[in-house]
Amino acid sequence: MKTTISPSLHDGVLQGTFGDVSRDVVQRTSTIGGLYKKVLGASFALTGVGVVGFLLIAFTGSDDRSQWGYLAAMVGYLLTTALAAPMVSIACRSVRANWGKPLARVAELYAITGLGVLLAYVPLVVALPALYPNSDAPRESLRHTIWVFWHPHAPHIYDSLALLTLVITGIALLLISSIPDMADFGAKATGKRASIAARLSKSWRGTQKQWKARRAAIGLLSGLYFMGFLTLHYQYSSDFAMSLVPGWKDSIFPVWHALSGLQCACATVMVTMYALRRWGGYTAYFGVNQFWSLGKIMLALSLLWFYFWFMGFFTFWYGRIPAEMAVLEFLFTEQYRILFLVAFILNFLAPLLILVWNKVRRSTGGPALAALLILIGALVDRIRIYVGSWSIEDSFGHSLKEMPPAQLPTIPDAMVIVGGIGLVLMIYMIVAKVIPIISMWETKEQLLYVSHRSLLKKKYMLIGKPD
Amino acid sequence: MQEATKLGDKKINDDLLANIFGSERRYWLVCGFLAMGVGAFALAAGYMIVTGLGVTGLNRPVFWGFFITNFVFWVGISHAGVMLSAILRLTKAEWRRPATRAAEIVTVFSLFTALMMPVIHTGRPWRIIYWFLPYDFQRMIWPNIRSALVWDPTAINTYLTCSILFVFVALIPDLAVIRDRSTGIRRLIYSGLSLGWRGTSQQWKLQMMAGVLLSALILPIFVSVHSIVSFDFSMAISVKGWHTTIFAPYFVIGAVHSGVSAVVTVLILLRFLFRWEDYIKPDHLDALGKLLAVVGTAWFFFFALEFLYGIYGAEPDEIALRTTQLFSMPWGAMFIAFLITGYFFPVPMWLFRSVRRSMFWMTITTISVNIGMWLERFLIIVPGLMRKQDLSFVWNVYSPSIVEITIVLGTFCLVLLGVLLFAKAFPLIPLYDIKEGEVLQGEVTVGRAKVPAAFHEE
Amino acid sequence: MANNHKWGMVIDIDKCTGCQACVVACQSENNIPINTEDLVLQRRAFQWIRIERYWEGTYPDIKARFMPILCQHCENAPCEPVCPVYATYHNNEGLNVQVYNRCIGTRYCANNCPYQVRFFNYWEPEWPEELKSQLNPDVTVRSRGIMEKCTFCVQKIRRAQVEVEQRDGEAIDDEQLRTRNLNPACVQACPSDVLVFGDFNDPNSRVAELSHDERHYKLFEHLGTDPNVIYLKKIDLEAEDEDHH
Repeated sequence: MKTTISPSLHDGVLQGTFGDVSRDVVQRTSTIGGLYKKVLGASFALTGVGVVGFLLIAFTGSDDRSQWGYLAAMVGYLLTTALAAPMVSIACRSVRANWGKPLARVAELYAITGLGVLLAYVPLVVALPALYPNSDAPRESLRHTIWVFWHPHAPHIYDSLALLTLVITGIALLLISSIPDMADFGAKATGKRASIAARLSKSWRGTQKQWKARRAAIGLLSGLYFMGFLTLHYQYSSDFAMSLVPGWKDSIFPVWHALSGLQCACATVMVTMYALRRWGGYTAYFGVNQFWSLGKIMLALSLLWFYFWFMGFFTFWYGRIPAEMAVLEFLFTEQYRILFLVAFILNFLAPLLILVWNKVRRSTGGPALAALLILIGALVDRIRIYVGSWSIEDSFGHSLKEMPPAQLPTIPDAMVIVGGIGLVLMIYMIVAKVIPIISMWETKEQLLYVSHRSLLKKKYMLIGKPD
Repeated sequence: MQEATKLGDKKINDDLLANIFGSERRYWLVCGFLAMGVGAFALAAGYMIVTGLGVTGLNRPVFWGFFITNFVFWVGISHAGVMLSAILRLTKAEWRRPATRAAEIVTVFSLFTALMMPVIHTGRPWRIIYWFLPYDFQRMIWPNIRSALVWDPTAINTYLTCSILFVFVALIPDLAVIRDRSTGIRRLIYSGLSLGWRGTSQQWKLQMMAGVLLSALILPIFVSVHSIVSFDFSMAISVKGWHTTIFAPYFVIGAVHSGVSAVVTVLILLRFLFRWEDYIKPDHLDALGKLLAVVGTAWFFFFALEFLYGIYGAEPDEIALRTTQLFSMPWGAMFIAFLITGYFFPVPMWLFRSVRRSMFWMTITTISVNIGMWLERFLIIVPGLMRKQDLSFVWNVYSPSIVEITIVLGTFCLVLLGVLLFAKAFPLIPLYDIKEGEVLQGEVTVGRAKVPAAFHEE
Repeated sequence: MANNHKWGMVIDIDKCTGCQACVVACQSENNIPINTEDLVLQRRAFQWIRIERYWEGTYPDIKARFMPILCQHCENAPCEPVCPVYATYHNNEGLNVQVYNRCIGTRYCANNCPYQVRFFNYWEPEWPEELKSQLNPDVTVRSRGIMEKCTFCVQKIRRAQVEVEQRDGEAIDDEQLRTRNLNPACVQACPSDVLVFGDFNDPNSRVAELSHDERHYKLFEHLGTDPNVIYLKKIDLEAEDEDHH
C-alpha cells in the first residue's frame, strides 16, 4: 500500500496515505492542462455572449417588464443549481456521511459563483414593480405580498439583503472549510496561485484549538446557509414570481421551489463529479459509492418533487375556484403546457425510471445522466415560472383576467441564458485552481475512520462516528 | 456514545420476556387505572350514540370539533411507527433498535383509535356501512370516490393493514423464542403464530427481505396517509385557513413531530414499568432528541409558511380568521400556548445534551410537544369554521361539552392500555434486533482514541 | 318527465323589509323542528331561509340591511363532491338535493357550504302534541343525525309536474305556479315581492328576465359556485360604491 504513489480506488475504497492524498491533490491543483484551458476559454466566450445579450435587452428593448422574464428565469435557475450545491456538503457533514467527504468541496466551491448571481440580479431589482403603485388604492386591488407590514421598501430591499447574506455566508463557509487545504497547497506548491492560497490561510497552524474553532464556525455557517437558502427561495419565488400573478396564492410553491433546489444541488454536484472523474482524472476520489449514495438521495428528491407539485396542483384543481383555475391554466395546462410537460418528464419521470434500477444507480453513468436531465428540466421549469409571471401586465387585482400567450425566447434571451451558465462555469473553474477541488482534510478523515473487516464470513465496513 | 458492554443472548431473552411470563404489580396498577379511563370513554360514547350528537358542543357553523381534532391527532401519532422503523431501518441507524416495535405498536393502536373517531362522530353510526360498501346493488350506488372522506378510510385502512403485517413479520423470530419457553395451550398458540420458525439461514434471509420490502412499500403509504387526512381540510374551499396547498406536507411533518415525541414518552413509561434500563438508554433518547429537534424545526418552517401565505391574500375573511386565532380569547391564549408547548419550549431544550439524556426532561418535553400538536390541530379546525366566509351574521363560537372531553381523554387511556396489553403477550422490544445490534457493534482506533463504530454491509 | 327545467330564484334586496314572513312560512311548510329557546341557545336553530341583518354606519346615521339567504342550489356546489355516500347531489333541474335516507351525518357538506345553509339534526325533532297534526304530509320528518336544507319546496315542484304537466298537459309557467299555489312557501309568503321563483329555461319567466337586470349579482361569485339564486343589488342613492355583496 505504501508503494502506491498516487491514491487509487480498490473495491470502492480509497487506498493511500495522507501524504499520497496531499501530493496528488496539490499537483492536480497546480498544473493547468490543455483541456482546462479550452473549457475555461469557452466559458469566457459564453459569458461574453451573455453580456452582449444583456446589453441588447437593456438598450434596444421597450420599457416593458416582460423583457426581463428570461433574466429572472436565469437568476432563479442559478439559485436553484449553483447556489443550492453547497447544501450537499452541508447535508453530508451534518449527518457525518463518509461517502460525502471527498465531494464536499466540489459542492461548496459553488458558493463563490454567488458573486455572479449577484451581478445578474441587479437589473431585476430595478425592473421589479413596487408592491403599492399608489398608496390610495383599495387594499383588495393591490399586489399580494408576504411583506404584510413592511411594504415601503418591499420587496426590493429585503430580497437583496437575503441574497447578499446568502452569498457572503457561502463564501465564508467555503473559505473557512478550505483553510487547511489552502495551507497545504500554499506550502507544497509554488507559483502565484499557491501564494494566494498561502496568504488566505496565513494564520493556520493546525493546532487543536484552531481545528475546534473551525469546526464550530463550519457548523454555524452551515446552519446559517441552510436557513438563508430556504429564505431566499421563499422570497425570490414569492416576490419575483407568485406575487406578479394575481390570484396565485399557493403556500406550497416556495417549498416546491426550494425542494427543486435541493434536487438540482445533487444533480449539479453529480454532473461536476462525473466531469472531474471522466475528464479531470480524479478517479481515486469519486467511486461508484459516491454516485450510488448521491443517486439514492436524488431519487428520493425526485419523488418528493412530484409529491410537492401534485399536492399544490391537486388542491387548486379540486377546489375549482376560478382565480386558482386561471393560474393552473396559465402555468400548467394551457400557455406553458409544453414547458411543464418537459419539466415534469425531466425532473420526475426520467430520474425515476433511470434511478429506480439498482444496477443503474450503482454506476457512474446512470446517476450522471439522470442528473443532467434534471438540470435541463429545472431550467425549463424556471423559464415556465418566471417568464410566465413576468409577462403578466397587470399584477394588481384579485384574479388573472387576461392571459398573455407563452413568450418564446428572442435571440438576446437565449444569449442571456447561455451567458449565465458560462459565468458560473468560469468563476468555478478559476477558483478551483486556487482552492483545491478535493477536500483533503475530509478525505484524510475518511481514511482514518473507515476500516474493513470480515464478520461471519461476510465483508463489512466498520465505520467509526465520533461524537 | 454506545457503551461496549454486551448483555448476552440469555439475559436479553430473560429481561425482555419477563412481562409475558409474570407481571409486576405496578404493571397491573397502571393497566387498571387506564381501564377505568377506557370505561369512562365507553360510557360517554355509548351515551352519545344513544342520545344523539346534541350532547356535544357542536353547533352551526362549527360542525367539526374535538373529535376530528382528536382524529387528526391520533393519525399523526401513528406516523411514528414508520418514521422510526422503516426510515431508520432503510438508513441503517443503529439507535433505532429498541424503539422500533414500540413505535409500530403505538402506530397500530393509535390508528384503531383514530378510525373510531369519525365513526362515532357521524350522525348515524349504525349506517356507517354505507361509507365503505356499495349498498344498493341494483342501482349501482357506490360510495362517492370524489370525497376526501372516502380516500381517508381507504388510506388509513391500508396503512393499518400494512402496519400490522409489518409488526407481525418482525415478531416471528421472537414468537418462536416464546414458543420454546412456554408449555401447554400457550405453546400451541405461539407455535401457530410463529409459523414454524426454526431460525435457519433461509428463514432469516426471507424475514429480512420481507422487512426491507415492507419498509420500502410502506413509505409511500406513510406519506400519503396524512396528506389525505389533510385533504379533508384543504379540499374544502369554503373554509378559510383550510384551503391551502401546503397542508399535505405540513400535516405529514407535524405528524412525525408529534408521533416521535409520543414514542419517546411511551418508551420512558415502558422503561419504568418493565425495568428496561439496559435496553432503553440515554444514548437512544439522545439520538431521538436530535431527530426531534430537526423535525420540529422543519415543521415550524411549514407552519410559518402556512401562516404567512394565509395572510398573503389579505382577504377580509382570512384576516378575520387570523384575528380570531391570535387576538380573541381564549383562542389567542391557546395560540400562544400552542407555540410555546409545540416549539419554543421543547426544541431549544433539546439543544442541550443533558436534556436529551435525561428521562425526566424528555418526558416533560415530549408531552409538551403533544399538547402543542393537539392544540395546533384544534386551532386549524375550529377557528376556520367559526369565521367561515364573509357572512359575519352566522359567525359563532364553539366550546366542547363534558362528553367530548371525556371521550378525548379516554382515547389516550385506550391507546396506552392497548400498548400495555399487547406487552403482556408479545415483547415490545425486538429480541433479535437487540442481539444483532450487539454483534454489529465495534470500535475504530484512531491514535490513542477509540471511536465507536458500527459494521455496515459493503 | 320533462327535464328541461332549471329552477331558480331572484331576490331583490332592495325590496326586503326583514319581516321574516318567509322564515315562518318555510318553517311550517317543511316540517322544520321548532326553534325552541334551548335550540337557539345551543346555536343549532334551523332556518332553511334566514334574514341576515347587518348594520351600516354608526348611530345615529345608521341603516339596517336585510339579506335573505337560503340554499343557493349551486351548479358547482362545493357540498356535493365531499359527501362520501352521495347523500347530496345535483339533479337535472338545477336543484341541489339532499337524500335523507342515504345521509350518515358526516357534516362535511355543511363545512364546505360557503353560504352556511345546511342544518344538522343534533337531536331527534319533537313537536308539541297539538302541533303534530299540522305536519305537512308531503315532506319527510327528518330523524336525528342527518343533514337537511332548503329544497326549493321540491314537493311543490313535483306536484306541479304531476298536476300541470302530466295531468293537464300544460307547461309550467309563472302564471301556473302562482295561481295554483305551487311557488315555494317563502315566495308565497313574501309581502313585498322580494322573492321570485321560476324556471330560468323559460324565456318568458320573470326570473329569466330579472336575471339580466343591471343590478344582478351572485353571492360569493369568486368561489365559482355558480348559484341558481340571483340577487338584485340594493338601490341606495346616498351610499358610495358598495362592494360585491
